[in-house]
Amino acid sequence: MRDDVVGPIVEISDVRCHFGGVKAVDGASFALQRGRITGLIGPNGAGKSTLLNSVAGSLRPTGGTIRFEGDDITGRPPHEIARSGLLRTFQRSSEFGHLTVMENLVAAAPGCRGTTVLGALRSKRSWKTDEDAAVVEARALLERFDMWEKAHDYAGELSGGQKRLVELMRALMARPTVLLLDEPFAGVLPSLVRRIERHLMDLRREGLTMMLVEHDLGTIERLSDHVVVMANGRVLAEGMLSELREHRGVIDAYLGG
Amino acid sequence: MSVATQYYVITLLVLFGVNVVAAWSLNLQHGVAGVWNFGFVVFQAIGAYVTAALTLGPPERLGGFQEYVLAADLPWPLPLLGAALAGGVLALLIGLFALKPKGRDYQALVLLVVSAASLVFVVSQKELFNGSAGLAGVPKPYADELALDVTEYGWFYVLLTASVVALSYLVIRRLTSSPWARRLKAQRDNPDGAAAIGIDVGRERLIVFVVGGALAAVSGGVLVQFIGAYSPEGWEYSMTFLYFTAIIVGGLANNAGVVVGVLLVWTVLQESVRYLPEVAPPTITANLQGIAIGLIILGFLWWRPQGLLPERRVRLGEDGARRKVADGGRQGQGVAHEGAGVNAR
Repeated sequence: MRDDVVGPIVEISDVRCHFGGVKAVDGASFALQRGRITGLIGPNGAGKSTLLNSVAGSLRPTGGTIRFEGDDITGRPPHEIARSGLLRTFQRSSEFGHLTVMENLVAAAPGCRGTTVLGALRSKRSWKTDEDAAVVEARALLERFDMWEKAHDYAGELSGGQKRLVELMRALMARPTVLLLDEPFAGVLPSLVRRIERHLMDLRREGLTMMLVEHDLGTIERLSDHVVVMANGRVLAEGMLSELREHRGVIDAYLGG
Repeated sequence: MSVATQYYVITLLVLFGVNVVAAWSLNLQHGVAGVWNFGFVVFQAIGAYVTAALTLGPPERLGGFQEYVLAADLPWPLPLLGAALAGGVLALLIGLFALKPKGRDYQALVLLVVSAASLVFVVSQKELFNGSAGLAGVPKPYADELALDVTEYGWFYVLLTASVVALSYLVIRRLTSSPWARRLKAQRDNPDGAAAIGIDVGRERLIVFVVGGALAAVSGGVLVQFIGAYSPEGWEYSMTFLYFTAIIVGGLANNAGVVVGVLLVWTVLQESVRYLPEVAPPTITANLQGIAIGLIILGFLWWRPQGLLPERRVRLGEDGARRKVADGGRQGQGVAHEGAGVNAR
């Protein structure tokens, strides 16, 4: 089942997130295709972020199932989902402010000795090799994302756009097979937006599957292979953005609010 | 030095050691892991009670004037290990529900309530640790075997305390300089972000709560074997805030800063009151001291929240790792970078 290289990697079926009477997500179904960037758009309050949160485990859906690589991950806690290779970034940046940029990245390296209390009680020699390997990997990422000179700055002191980059690099350190990006360009300077876009294109070329929640249709057009439009908690339409521009319901949802 | 002066210095040194160990453990919980343990003094208390019970032997030995559970007659340092175990188990039991609420302000409140409630509980359950009278007559380790005079024994106890401080430091240093501590700080700074990279935030906070509880209990054990008695007056919740003041003044998440904080808040500030001219009745002096501590905590939170010795910046990769990066670079600049971090299937 897992050896097929095409086909869906994440399947969202009839997911519902109801908060009392409010139906933030109300029966949404779509799939993320392996190696593609799926754009998720829709007016404010359409349920995009709620859906992303329920896929990432931050929010337990009230109904429906979410499968990742064929496994049912519905309602699993976020750290388990992250460890299985489904990573996410946040709409509001979530950097570890009092750690350096380098430490932010190294903290995310999976499988290092010394990250448990018992491992920590052992001598430094027992975990130093793993940590060094993580530092080397982090350095490669920092150079790739032009952030090496910021390596020892506190993440809390960076600009909004740089924090976004830290979050992206940190997610990459955790070895994702799928990355969910929640408005990664919000509050980022236009010059940096183009840079991050290029990085995302590179990552796609390397085979990373991504879901991108975004408002800016230009960005969606440049990055997405496939676009899903949500409104009122449901999937309104999906396809190429060029097709969707002609779609009556999409136009109404955007113009009618 | 006169006997009185010597004994004063001995007392200052032992209490300093006790408070440093306690403050390190609170600093691990709060400074490193962001747990607002407003019930901290409870864990020092259980260490003191358990150590007392484990050294007093059967109640009849002292004429049966006090009652307690866990009566035993263990040689040092076994009572301290028993205290650590008791502190850890209690922390596990309390942590399982107190650390459950998602908001950290709620956790703090629950722990404060736990602190007040356990005091009432211990006072009302006299058979547990002799209620409001507390335990007295706690024997000093090896006092009979050594047969020293008071000051000589005092210096011996300073050595015992120093050995506990040294051992605690080795443990604390390993824990706080480990990759585990980095992940604790990560969830301290942003719990959601930490969960999103695979850190089980609830579990790690519970573990650090248990480790800190065990170490706090050890500090209580060292204290009770020195002063020989312990009662509910010794662990009112205001004590917790003295420890918080010490770690905030000294510098959160900095083990050396914590030592400075304990020296200033516990030793200098507490003792200086003794040397003030008596302008008012003693109860007012005690209250003035409380006010002074409140002002100090506010002052630091306003003007120097990072404390006297702030958390150290860790510059990872400035030693061995850099060399390895340089080696990798020689083999081809692009290789190390391409696909870094992406685990494409």
